[in-house]
Amino acid sequence: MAEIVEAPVGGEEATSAQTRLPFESADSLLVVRDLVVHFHTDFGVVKAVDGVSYSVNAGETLAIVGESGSGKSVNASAVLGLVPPPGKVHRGEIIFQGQDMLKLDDQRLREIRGNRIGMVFQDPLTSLNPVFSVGAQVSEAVQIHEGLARKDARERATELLSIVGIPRSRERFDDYPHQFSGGMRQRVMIAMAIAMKPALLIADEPTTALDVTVQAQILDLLGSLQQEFGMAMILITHDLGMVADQADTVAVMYAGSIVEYGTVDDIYYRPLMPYTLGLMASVARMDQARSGRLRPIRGQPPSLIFRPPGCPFHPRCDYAREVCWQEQPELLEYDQQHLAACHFAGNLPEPIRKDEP
Amino acid sequence: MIPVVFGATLILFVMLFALGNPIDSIGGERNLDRSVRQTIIDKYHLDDSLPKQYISYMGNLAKGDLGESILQRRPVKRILGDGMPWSLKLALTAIAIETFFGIVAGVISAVRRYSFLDVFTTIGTSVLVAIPVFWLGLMLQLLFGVFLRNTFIHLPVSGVDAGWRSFILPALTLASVFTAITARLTRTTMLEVMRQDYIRTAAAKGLPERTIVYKHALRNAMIPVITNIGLDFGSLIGGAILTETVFSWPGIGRELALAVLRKDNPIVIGGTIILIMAFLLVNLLVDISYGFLDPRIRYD
Ligand SMILES: Nc1ncnc2c1ncn2[C@@H]1O[C@H](COP(=O)(O)OP(=O)(O)OP(=O)(O)O)[C@@H](O)[C@H]1O
Ligand SMILES: [Mg+2]
Repeated sequence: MAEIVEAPVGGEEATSAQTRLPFESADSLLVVRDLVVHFHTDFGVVKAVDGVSYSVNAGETLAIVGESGSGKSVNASAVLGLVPPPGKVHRGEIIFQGQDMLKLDDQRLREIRGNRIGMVFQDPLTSLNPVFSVGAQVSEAVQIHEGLARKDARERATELLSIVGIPRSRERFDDYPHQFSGGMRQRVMIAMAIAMKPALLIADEPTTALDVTVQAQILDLLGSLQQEFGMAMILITHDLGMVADQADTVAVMYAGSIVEYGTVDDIYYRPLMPYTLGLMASVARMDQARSGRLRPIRGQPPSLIFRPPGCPFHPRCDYAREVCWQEQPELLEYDQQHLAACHFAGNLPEPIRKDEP
Repeated sequence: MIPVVFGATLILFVMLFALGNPIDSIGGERNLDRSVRQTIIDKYHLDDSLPKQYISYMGNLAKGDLGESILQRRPVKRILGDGMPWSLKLALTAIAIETFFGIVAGVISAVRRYSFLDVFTTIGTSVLVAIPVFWLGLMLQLLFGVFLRNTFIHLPVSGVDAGWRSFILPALTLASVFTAITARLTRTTMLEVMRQDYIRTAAAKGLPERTIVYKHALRNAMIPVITNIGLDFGSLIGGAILTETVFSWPGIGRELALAVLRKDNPIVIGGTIILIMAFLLVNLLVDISYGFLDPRIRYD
């Protein structure tokens, strides 16, 4: 086993702003350190994001993978300062192009939103305003940052619509969202997000709500736009198989924390943590003939209000031993640039529970 | 529209028939002379059977004839025609008050949720919804007509002789409940809309708060609110009966209320038909205007 290096992630200690994250470099566009987001609800404090750290280099793609409710969207909205109430960023740093987004005033934040960071949301059916034409909504994205005249903005928006592959974009400019299919609406969303050629594009499950046939098209579009504009991308998904050939690095989220983090090859071929193994088994792998049935991870994601003691994954883990419910494993570097939060990472014991037949 | 008018007149006929012969109220306390009585009964066909009266009334109605008032000896059409402009003006003023104050209060409440203004609006609207319209009218009359009569803010409490100042109290009274309902509906809808995904999209574009609220959110919230105000217009015409009576407003509502008390059936029926038609017409207009507000149901 590789030498274990203490990584500056998780744990009780305060932010170690000076320590480098595994993929952080002078090139890093975005560095998130020990981000904590809580929702104060009537039922208790929901720890939706509980101390995550990661970095994204210019032009590269970070995939964030995890089950529903693991905090992917909340984490992404925090980057833009758009955590919905009653959510609050409790602590952490979000350094984008050298500035801490959490310390910017509203005016400065707005200059970054939609301009230097674009965002595509999960559900294209509800993410466009039903009472404005798609053209008007794309124009608005251009106008707000460039102060173009209405006519020029219209011209630019039409161009953007054809860039994202809307056929007859000039004629369809004045159509309303309900006149478009799901895939086309997601293209419109993408047109708005890339309107200002942002340095970073955050795509939050951009294909989850779409037909399987359309999913690949949308991912291809994102990939080619990324090439063209040299954008960095955070690609959120619950299906690593879908995005494996686009991602450079992968962060696996579970119950608000990152439980494994590494290059796409490491995560894909050499997963260390049983949860990642489970994720891999539960998705169809493109590069392998299907060997046997897809196995979903058994059990339910844990409550984010009352997290299980020890490792949050232990109640669902086939390998769990006593130490797993007594001590919370830290996210440690086991290999060069390959981190995992597991007491038995790289050294898994015999599974205790047999897989269901 | 036609079937509704048919049905409504039929119901009215049956009810009025059950209330008995209007002939007795004509003479007031005195007993009418036998021959006079018979003349009137013959003239208005008061002894005919119900179906016969109904058919002859509908025949006249088809010709645009609403008959003649038994007490006023004037055509019902003329009487209602005189009252119509006053009722319309009052209703429109009330609608204007409802639209403006209802929406402004609702939006402020939603945007500054749990602020003093929001709490104030919530309490105020609860009170307005709870108190009866005629009582509010009487209290306003007492306040502005009696207690403040020697000050410069005293206001006329009856009739229409004082120009626009005459409108203030009746219109406020008439608008009160509707304004409260509109304010609440606006608040709820705005809060609902502000939670929508497209609002988050607007924020992610970098739009300032006020563009998000007053362009993206308000435009959506207005769909149910405007629809509701349109429908209120129909109820306002009905609500005018109380308000017009309290403020001696020379509109259709007061005419109708008086006619009911005096059993002047031709006015009761004619007035009701006019109110029903106005109500239906407004609903039709609201349906058509839907398309302008909401592109999802634009007919093209
Ligand atoms: N507005 C909110 N109020 C309270 N809790 C919230 C709110 N939004 C999110 N949460 C909590 O934060 C947790 C993480 O939510 P998030 O939307 O980030 O999950 P996700 O990983 O994006 O899941 P999905 O794949 O379903 O999109 C959820 O379990 C939820 O309980
Ligand atoms: Mg999500």
